Amino acid sequence: MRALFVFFIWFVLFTACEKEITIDLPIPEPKIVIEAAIEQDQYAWAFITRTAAYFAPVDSSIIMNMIVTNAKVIVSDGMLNDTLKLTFDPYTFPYLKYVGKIIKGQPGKQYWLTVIADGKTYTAVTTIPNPVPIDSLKFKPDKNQDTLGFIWIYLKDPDTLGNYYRGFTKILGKDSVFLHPYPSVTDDRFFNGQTAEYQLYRGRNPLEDSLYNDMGIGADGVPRWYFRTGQTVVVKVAQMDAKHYDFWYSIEQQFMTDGNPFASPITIRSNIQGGAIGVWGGYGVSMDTLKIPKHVKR
Amino acid sequence: MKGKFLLLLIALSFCFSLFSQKYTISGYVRDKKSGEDLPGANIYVEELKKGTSSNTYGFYSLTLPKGTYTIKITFVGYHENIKKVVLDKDIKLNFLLEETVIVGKEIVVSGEQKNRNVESIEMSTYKLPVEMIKEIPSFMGEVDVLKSIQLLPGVQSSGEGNSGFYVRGGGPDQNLILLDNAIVYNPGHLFGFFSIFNADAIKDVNLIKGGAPANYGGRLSSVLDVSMKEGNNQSYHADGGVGIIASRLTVQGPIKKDTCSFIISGRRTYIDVLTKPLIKGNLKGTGYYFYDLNTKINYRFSENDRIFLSGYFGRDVFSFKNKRDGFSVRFPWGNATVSARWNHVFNQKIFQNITATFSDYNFTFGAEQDNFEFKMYSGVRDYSLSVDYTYLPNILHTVKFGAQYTFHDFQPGSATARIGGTFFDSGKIIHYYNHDAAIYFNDEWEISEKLKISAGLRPTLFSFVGPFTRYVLDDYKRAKDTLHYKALEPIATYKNIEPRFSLRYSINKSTSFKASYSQNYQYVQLASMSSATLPTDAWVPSTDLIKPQFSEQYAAGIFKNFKNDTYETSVEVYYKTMKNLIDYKEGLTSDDNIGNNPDNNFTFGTGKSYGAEFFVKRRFGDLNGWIGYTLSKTTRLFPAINNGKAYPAKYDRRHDLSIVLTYDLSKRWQLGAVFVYATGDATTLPISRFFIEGRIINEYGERNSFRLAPYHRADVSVTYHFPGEGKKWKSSLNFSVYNLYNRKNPYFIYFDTDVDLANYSITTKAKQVSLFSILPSVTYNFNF
Repeated sequence: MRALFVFFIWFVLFTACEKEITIDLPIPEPKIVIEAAIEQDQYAWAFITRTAAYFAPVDSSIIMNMIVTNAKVIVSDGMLNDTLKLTFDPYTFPYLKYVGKIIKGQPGKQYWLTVIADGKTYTAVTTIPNPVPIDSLKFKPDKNQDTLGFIWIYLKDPDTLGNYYRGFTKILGKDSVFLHPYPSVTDDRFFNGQTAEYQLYRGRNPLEDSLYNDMGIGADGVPRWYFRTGQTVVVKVAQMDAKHYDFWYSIEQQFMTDGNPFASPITIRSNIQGGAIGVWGGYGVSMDTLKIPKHVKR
Repeated sequence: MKGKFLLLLIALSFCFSLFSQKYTISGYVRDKKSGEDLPGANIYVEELKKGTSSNTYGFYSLTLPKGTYTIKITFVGYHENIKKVVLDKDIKLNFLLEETVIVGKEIVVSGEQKNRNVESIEMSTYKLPVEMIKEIPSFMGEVDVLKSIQLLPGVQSSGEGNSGFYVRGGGPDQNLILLDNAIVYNPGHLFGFFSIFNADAIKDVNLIKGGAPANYGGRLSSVLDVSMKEGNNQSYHADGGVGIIASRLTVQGPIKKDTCSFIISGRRTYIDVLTKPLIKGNLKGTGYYFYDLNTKINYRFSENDRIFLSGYFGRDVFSFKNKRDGFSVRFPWGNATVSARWNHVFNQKIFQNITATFSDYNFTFGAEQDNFEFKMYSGVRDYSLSVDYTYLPNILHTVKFGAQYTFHDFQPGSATARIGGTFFDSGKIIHYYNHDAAIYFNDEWEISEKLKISAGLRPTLFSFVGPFTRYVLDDYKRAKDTLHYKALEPIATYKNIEPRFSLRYSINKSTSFKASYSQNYQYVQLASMSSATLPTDAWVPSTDLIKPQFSEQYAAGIFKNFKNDTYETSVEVYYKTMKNLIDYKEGLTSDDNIGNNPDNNFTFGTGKSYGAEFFVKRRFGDLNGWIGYTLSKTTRLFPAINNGKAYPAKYDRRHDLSIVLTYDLSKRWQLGAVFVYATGDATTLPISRFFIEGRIINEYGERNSFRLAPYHRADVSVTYHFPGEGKKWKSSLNFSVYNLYNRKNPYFIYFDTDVDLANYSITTKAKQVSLFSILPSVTYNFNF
């Protein structure tokens, strides 16, 4: 379908011209945005921010104002409460992150989140599904390439429908955090119960944008999305519940349709009660490490 | 129900025939030179000061008391014809009218002028002869029937340069578009920038915006009835044209003089041929073209019987190849229609039409790139049969009744994809089979000199039948269950009755008041995911999940002609409500259609539209044309969209103004001009943004709460007719300029955001894209 759009856009641009305009939009009330997760064997974490008016010029002071630093963030597993503490994370924007220290995620369990910010209370619940093991990983060079390529994941999808996957990679010694491609989520509607193969490219780290040009090519001429022979890559395949998946699906759909004026706007779905935007998501994870040999046969 | 209906019919027929000592005069009105039928000609009985008009096939019938009458036939653009008849037995009388000198010009040579628009009961109706459409400035040199329709009040263009149209707040799929009675499912070429109607093959175009008589049904908002020419049954002729993007050729003539004629008309674009030498290397094989072919044969095998066979076939083909990336795409799409029709006249008073039509629209798409492959198919196929009768018992009644049946086969989109070795298979092509039947009865009755009414009923039946597999999904789009239905097993059946009523009250000879009320059901709809109408948009029928769309419309208007009929004016107001409108659920994208029934993705709501339409038309003289202005408001209310708050429809346009003028400077030179102004399109824009994973995500404002800048544009044209009096070969050169003052009308706006998080900087610019700047074109037309 995208090719049709490409043709359509091609036709439009063939005859079109554009100019810059100014738009008067109403300034909306800021809303609370919660991005929070609990991963298997890890403590919970959360970013609490506010929305900013679309056309408001953004500089460092505005961004600092978007971060909520005095929120109360509590995670519960039904027995224990864990009050998350504000810490500094130099690897993830916007750096000021609430982190727990009591409850670690366990597959098959439910977790509750309560956030009190700007005088309002927001709640959410999520589950950590059982992880699906990775069968094997393989590096395949891209065509016309010898040393650069992608990682293929092979796994057996469980027989029951309703598995929601999200894939991440981290190149040891290069990436400070797990990165994911776009789109990173998929459900098993089309390969339920089958052995699935899935291709991963190296995702974008928003804090490293300055290392690459607009086309995503680095100073050494290597595109951002490739893995390279000789690298060691940790691959993480996470399982989510349906509402958690819905959030990322809508986020990634917005990325896909962003800038396409013919697509209807994608409203971000949320599993948070109380009027905040965002997600409280549990991840059940399986991890594997792939040492890409120095020489790979095509 | 059916029994009662028949009873009513019989009762009515009886009461019409109670009067005795009456005789019938009937026949056809035709063009003397070409033998083409003249529909809508006025047949006027001087002594009674009453008349009738010829039907679509040029047939008329008058049943009058015994006596001597003066019958006068008038038809715009033709010399008047008067005959004295002694009616003491049934008479058959054909009228052959001679054209006035200039083709297509409304020149009345003698006699009384007719206040047809005031006297007829029709309201919200426009008839555009194709000769008139040809005088309006054209877009890229292509005369376009649908774009001239958009210049009428109450009708809006669906976008810059687009032939799609919206009528009185209804969607583009709510227009019943008929080509020789066959439904056309996608009337556009190249994303709607051109319509499929080749003006050389078209005779006339009739648009009904509401209160349509009961013989039309199946769509909520309008009827666009397009009829093809029949072909000259006297001598051979060819018409053609060479334009900047396409060429046309039409040949017509008698197979057997007076009784059998044919017409064949073709058009093809040659952008691909012209650009071929420019596309080299990796992109070789990339191109786009479209073509149309219209044919019609008609045969009169007796004075009372005629057969027509007409066909349309058109295709758009786009292919894209990039050898370097190993990427190739090919997608052809298009319509095909076939109509076969038999006209028969029973005892001079009953006109029978039996029509069989076939209509097909399909879209195929195939893309390939290394280890990725994608195939998609969607389409509609209709087989239909209708039997229609017009019964003219006496001069006061025109009774129409008949039955229509269509078998639909919808295939709203099936896709298969392969990535590497994993098949993403949606299974087999999903078919939706439907029975679609209707019977109707309509009587137009002149109760008194002043009052005329038209009342009709249209009972309809729509049934969704197997074989079909229904995927029952849970809240998370997981298949909970699958239901299998056997062939022809009914899955959902809808029965409805649509009443139609209209009246005309003559205040005086040149002024009348008209009102109408109508109900309509619509059992098929276009599911459009994006805001542009693309050939991928799939037609889906009413199912167990999709209830039929329903509308009610009230309209009233004053019609008045001034200066001895030189100026026609009208003011109409309308109020329309719609139910069970469909839209996609919020946040869905194209892949939600795969491995699923498309109707699982819909959400339902209501709509409302009201407005006033003003129309002034000058019919005679060197200066012709009209001004149409519409003031209207259209809203939608969907519980699952916009948090259940009403919002402006995409086609909500507060103001819509069109001015169309043509001027005969001399015998050789003709000028044409068009000006349009419309309120800007409603659109949804982001209002705020936030961070997720260090990336910027948008939050959108209320649906359609923002307006683009207003749309306005002027076009002009000059036509020069080469001297050629007395010669067979006639030719003209048309020079048109689209968007004369180079207005940058908004086509869409987008945002260009620069993010540099490391430096805490985000800047956003709004950019407005305009489609067509000033666009001159030249076309050479000829005929011999």
